Amino acid sequence: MIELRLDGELVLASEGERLLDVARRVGRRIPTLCDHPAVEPEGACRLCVVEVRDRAEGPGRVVPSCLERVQPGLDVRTVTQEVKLVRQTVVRLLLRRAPESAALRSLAEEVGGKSSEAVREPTEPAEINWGKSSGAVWASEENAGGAGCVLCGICTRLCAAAGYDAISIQGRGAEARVSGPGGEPPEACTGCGVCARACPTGHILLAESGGVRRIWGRRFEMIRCGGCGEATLPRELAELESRRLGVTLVELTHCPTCKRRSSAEKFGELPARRTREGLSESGPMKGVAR
Amino acid sequence: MTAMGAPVDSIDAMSSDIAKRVDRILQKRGAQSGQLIHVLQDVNDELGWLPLESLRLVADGLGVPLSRVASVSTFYKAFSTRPRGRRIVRVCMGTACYVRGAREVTEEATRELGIQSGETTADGEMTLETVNCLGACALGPVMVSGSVVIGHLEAGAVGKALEELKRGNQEGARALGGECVEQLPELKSPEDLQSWRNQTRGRASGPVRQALVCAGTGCRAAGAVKVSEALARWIEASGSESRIGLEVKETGCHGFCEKGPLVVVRPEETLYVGVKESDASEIVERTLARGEPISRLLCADASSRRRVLRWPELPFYAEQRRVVLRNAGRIDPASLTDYVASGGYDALSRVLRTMSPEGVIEEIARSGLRGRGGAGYPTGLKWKRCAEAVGGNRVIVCNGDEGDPGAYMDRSLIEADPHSVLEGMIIGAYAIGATTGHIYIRHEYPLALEQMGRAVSEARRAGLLGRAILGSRMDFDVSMTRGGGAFVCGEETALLASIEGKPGRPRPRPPYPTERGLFDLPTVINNVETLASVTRILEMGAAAYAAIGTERSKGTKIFSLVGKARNTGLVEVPMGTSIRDLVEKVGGGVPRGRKLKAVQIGGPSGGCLPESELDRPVDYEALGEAGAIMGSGGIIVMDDRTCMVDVARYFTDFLEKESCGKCTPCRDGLRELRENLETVTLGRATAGGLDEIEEMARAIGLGSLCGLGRTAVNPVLSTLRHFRAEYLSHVEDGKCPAGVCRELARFRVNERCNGCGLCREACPVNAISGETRSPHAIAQESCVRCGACLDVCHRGGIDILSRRELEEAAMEVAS
Repeated sequence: MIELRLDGELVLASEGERLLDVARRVGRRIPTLCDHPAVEPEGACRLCVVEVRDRAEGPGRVVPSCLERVQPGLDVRTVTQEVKLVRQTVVRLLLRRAPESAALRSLAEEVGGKSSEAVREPTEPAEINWGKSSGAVWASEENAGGAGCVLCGICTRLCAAAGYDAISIQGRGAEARVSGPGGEPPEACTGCGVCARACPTGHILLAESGGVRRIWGRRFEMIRCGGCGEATLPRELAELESRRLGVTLVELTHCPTCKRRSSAEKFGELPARRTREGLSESGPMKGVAR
Repeated sequence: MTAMGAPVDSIDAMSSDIAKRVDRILQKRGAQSGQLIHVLQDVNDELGWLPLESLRLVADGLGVPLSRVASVSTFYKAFSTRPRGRRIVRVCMGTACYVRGAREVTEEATRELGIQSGETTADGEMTLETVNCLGACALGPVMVSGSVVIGHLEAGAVGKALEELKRGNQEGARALGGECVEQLPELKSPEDLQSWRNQTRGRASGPVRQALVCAGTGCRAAGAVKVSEALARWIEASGSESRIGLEVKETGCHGFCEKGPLVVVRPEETLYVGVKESDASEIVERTLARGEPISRLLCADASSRRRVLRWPELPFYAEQRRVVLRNAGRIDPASLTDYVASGGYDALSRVLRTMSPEGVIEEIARSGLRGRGGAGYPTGLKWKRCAEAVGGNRVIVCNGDEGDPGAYMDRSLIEADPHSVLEGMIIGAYAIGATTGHIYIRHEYPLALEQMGRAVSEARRAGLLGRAILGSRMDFDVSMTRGGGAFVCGEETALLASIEGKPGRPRPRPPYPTERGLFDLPTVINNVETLASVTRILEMGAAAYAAIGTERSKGTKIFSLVGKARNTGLVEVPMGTSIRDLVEKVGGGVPRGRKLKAVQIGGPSGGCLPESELDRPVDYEALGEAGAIMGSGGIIVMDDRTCMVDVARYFTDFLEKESCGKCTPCRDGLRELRENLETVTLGRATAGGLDEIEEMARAIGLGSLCGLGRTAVNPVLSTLRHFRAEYLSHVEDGKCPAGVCRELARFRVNERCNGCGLCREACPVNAISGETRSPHAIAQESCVRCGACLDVCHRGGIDILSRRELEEAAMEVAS
């Protein structure tokens, strides 16, 4: 165990623990945007900054708590003038990208300061023009009527972790944007929808109707559950994962309820929990995201 | 076949053509994912841009996801995602060029071509681009196209220059001497090296007189290659008898780039400046044959106007101490033989024979050498950490991604003396136990890439790289990477990502590269100048090196002294020299009788120091205390025609565009900061605006992920600290005292005008009228406030006013 000081209190932490996790464990509220349990931390949004000192009287350093690990004797302060300034500035800057995002608005209220005041008019990122006439719409953005992208990179990191690598951050600086290669609908997309579900601002839109799922400018035919007929997974995804996981297509595309029912029939009175190791609500992606 | 058939066929044909060309590149490079950037560079060169289809072929060929290829190809500026014209015209917008009027040059080019920067003319003939820094700072403003460099370009001459380029007038463009393969011995032991050196020295003492023609980028742009060819021709023609003992040699940069082409005649060390092709016969007949100086070609001392015969006596050189630059301008950088004859690779040979790796690290630590790339981390300590890190293989990387606009010492060093950098690298590899090395050089530096490429291959042929170097047990070889045009890649973790074929986005440290670096191996990353210093330290001994400099900053430092100074160029001085001596003694002060206003040190992340701070010594800590940094050593002199708010805006704009986009404060904060600074230069800022600027700058400095963001606010904070009054005068009085911010500045002729007519001629829009020898007047409605009149007036006959002052004055006259 490692002993450190957090806002004046002595706390214990295990070797290699992140400051963010320690602080949250002892009840501190630390805002984050780009942190996601399924992927490595990036330190990109800078909302989770805290001030640390190696010695109580030493000079303070402002560091992201999602990356900084515990050290014996470390003095951590989660609310200082500097920390507040960075957090308020970050939220205000991000609100320019996604003025309508409910998540950002509540963050603005939480960190206070000028960030909650009216922000400037949002600026559209410039086109990356791939030899098309200017003003050409990015095909993959027809669905980006969402709240605005804050470039946290959760979607691209999840997509890479899933092994699809369909979308990526393209361009650099303030003009960077997330899209399929060259702004086209991403060919490698399987329609899994993990990006849309994880997007903190709701920028990535996923629409489903009539057995068709639309995302990133692509359309995916949905396979219906063999039991009840509810649409479960895009065919492309199901076929790929059935090969990869060695599970039959029928088994993979059973909806959670029918799955539970059929398992129960198979195993009699087994507790429902066992079946959750198979595929449930967030199930299909679980095995993939790792 | 339908009418639609033809275009479809031709598109198919085009596709298969692209496929063939890409395939050839893939075969040449080998299908490994680590080759991604190299392959994309080749494809970009081959096709002129990167159509999406080519990316797909590359992705398939290398087995890399298309999304990653797209990510990399949109990150680096060197890649174009849209078709470009047959001729690409680049205007340098580096700081040195900017303060000398690059903005006006760009505007003029935009007007002439009818396109914006980044666009291509409708006929597909020309693409106009602005670039951050071409490293030809002493020649600014500079425009280049292909291998044609046009220096000291004034806005008025842009049209003519573009016309020349359109006509394909490529003279002066010559590949760096045909590939002449010299016989090199295979060196299997230190004795081999020594006996080769004795041989070459015997040969080198041959010539009675030598003409050394500087053929660095600066002098090359001014026509040095033609001068050297003409000299060779005249020697050849001067008859068999007198020809004996005369020799012409092309060297690397001599430093005094402003006055190029430079020719030094040895042994007298006579320096000729601004030499033209037509001077060649006279130089051969009089100076080379008979040792007579030619007075008109000698350089005049900037302050005393006296003509100086020998270059070491010119104040520009006399105040310098050329330790690392000792070979620059003296040896032929393309010749390993020349380097060895001047004592090269002696240090390496001695290290391998007599020293342990720990001993070398100890020696470097004793010398007090600190990283010359900017941060000043002790080199010995860095090596020690890497040597002690857990892991098998180790790597040494030479960082030649010199991205600071206005700094070009690394380019110059590589161009003038590539082996001294390579030797330092081999010594470093021995000390840390590395078997592989990488040399990373910006793609904007074609000559440096070529010289280093040749140095590496010659060293390899001679057995100075490869297995069992000089018969020792050391194996080491290097490969070269051409940078992709991203400033942030100078940051070490971004640089490593770039070599690994990823977008150059920095990653958090720790772990430091010395523990986990290139492909996760312990890695030392040293800057070009640092490695050249290593060679020098092992030659002269740590104690002698440490005797130069100050308490905490040892040795010498190379600065590129550019901007509004009389003598601009590359200079090397002991640490601790005062900035004032650098600017006034070496640089000869500010020209045209203007006043020195500020000195910007340390590149875009450096700070601006006012005249009152100039007695500070150049020393890592002393500069830091004043809000500047050593950085890579760019010193940009600014006079009273430079607006400090505009300078802060310029640097913020630069860094905003170079931000990798990963973390919020740097990516979006710099954008807002630049917008806020613009409101000041436009005269639209409110009283609270300055506080807002300061607060944003502080947040960016505190919250950013890497050094780029953390230091990006130095130009803003340092100008706010030292030049707050100038900001206030923009905000409160609507006045730009330097007459730079066009929305604010108004010009009026005052009573000192003697009607000389210079301003009338300089005005690009004919807004100035008046008879010769009677006072002139400026027609406000047609004035575009470029300030050309102000720059040519010798008498201070033009006032800079605010709009309100001008109106009040007009009312007074009316009443």
